[in-house]
Amino acid sequence: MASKVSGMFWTWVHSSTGPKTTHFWAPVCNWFFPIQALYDWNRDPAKISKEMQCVLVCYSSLFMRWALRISPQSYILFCMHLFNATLQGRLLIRRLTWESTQQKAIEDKPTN
Amino acid sequence: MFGIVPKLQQYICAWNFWPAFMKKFMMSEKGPFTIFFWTPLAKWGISIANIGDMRKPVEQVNTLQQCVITLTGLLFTRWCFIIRPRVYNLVLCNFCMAQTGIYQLYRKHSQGKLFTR
Repeated sequence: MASKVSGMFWTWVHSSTGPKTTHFWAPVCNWFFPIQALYDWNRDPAKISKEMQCVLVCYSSLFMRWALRISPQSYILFCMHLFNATLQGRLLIRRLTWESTQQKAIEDKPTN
Repeated sequence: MFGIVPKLQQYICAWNFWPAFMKKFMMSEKGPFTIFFWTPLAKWGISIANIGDMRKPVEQVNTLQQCVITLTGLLFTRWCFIIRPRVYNLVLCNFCMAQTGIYQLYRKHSQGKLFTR
């Protein structure tokens, strides 16, 4: 049993889509997008780029659909873009909420 | 999902004033009514947003995000060369993404703020 599992593992390692190839590492590095959004959970909203967050939400929303329309379908890629769209969207909402409170503070400031 | 886009495609393509090449483009498998047209544009959007962010102060640049953009750009540039068919638009797109990420990281590094959040 152990040798069978070991054999399967090494077959995968040396395969044409295994960890020795770009076919493996390119989708893996895509997962760093949602991981980065998790790391920046409490990032100062003044340091969040509204434009970049909008683009990342649109990018992930479109690629969610793309992952299901390609052949073969990639559910892992779909999940990754789902997480990314949600988490980057959270950062975008954080920034927009901060901007609206800043705007409100300016409007409420008494003028001399 | 709800069949809206194919109906919209048929409705719009039925208009008589479209020239033949435009109709062929709109009805194609990678035309503007399919996802395969819009996904490369979305990826270009990342590079364009990054170029727009170059005017902003360095404190607003997110180091980790730029590292991820650079790494993704570089690896997908290589990936685009090894898949078939090769799509040079995607090669250029990913290469630009990596270049804009590297430049943003250089901006942070030149002001000594590479490791500040």
